[in-house]
Amino acid sequence: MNPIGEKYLRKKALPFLWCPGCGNGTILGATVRAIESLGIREDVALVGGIGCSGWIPVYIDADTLHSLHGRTLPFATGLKMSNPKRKVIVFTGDGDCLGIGGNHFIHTARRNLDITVIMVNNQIYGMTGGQVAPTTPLKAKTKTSFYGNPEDPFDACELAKVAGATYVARWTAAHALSLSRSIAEAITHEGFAFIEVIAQCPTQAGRIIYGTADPARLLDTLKAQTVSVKSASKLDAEALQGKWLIGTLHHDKGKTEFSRSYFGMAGPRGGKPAA
Amino acid sequence: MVDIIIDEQYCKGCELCMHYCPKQILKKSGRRNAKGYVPPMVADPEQCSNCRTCELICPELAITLEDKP
Repeated sequence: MNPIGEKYLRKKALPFLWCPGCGNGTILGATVRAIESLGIREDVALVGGIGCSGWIPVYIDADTLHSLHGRTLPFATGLKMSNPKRKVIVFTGDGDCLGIGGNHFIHTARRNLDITVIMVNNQIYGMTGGQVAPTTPLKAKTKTSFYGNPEDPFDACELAKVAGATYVARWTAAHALSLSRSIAEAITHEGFAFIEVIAQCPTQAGRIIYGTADPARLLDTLKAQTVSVKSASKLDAEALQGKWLIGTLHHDKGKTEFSRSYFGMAGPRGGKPAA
Repeated sequence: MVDIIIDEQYCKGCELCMHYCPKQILKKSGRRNAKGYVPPMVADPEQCSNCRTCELICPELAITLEDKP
């Protein structure tokens, strides 16, 4: 085991329950490296939803909350508002965040609450057996869309941006170093930080949508569909059709954070929350 | 120079490290671990450029790069 794993993981819970080659492990590694680089282990509180990605916080030895399906953000809101000094990191899947918890997502982004949301996008409901998700590509065949998915997928980053999130970034599981740096930046950012990570799900999305169960080939396929923000400015709209933009998409430092404005209005305690 | 240490106990044989190694120095070991997966082995340690891609991408956190004096 990697020394960073030795330091941060709950040994009793190992090995991870994920399939071989799952992107969640890489995201877990990137997160613990970001926490290590900032030295904030004592202040961190992790919230996990339901689904494969909701298991990421379970393995990290820090304050952990495993919440209901789609309700990660209400739990995280309570956690943050009870002590605004906490660094709350939320792990959620695409179905958890945009499907079941879509309404919570847009409202937490609108409030600009100072939490970091890491949304693992595997484009399918992986744990329950490969049903069509809000992020499944158009025309993709899944277990519940035999003739192809008739719906357009959600662009979670655009949604977060228009809803009021102040830090928005997108990476794939193949960009582990950039992802780790981006998570560290998101944790330090004061406001709603949203990071979408395109991750490979070899068992469900790989076999059903992309026709390969090889994690490396699948991740290469996903990576080939991305364009970095810097090179996207030189390309025309036609070349960007159906591509994911990766990198830091939005960073606004000017907006007031929710717990600050809330406790600022609270009055009697002089804007200070209860200890 | 670095040492590439692979913890075979945790490896699930996904081969992401082998695929993403820019120098292609990780190969299949042919051995099976207790769970039946085939972990990688370092075929040519001299070639390692210490980029840490394998260490960062490993979903099981099973690879460690240690600086050798």
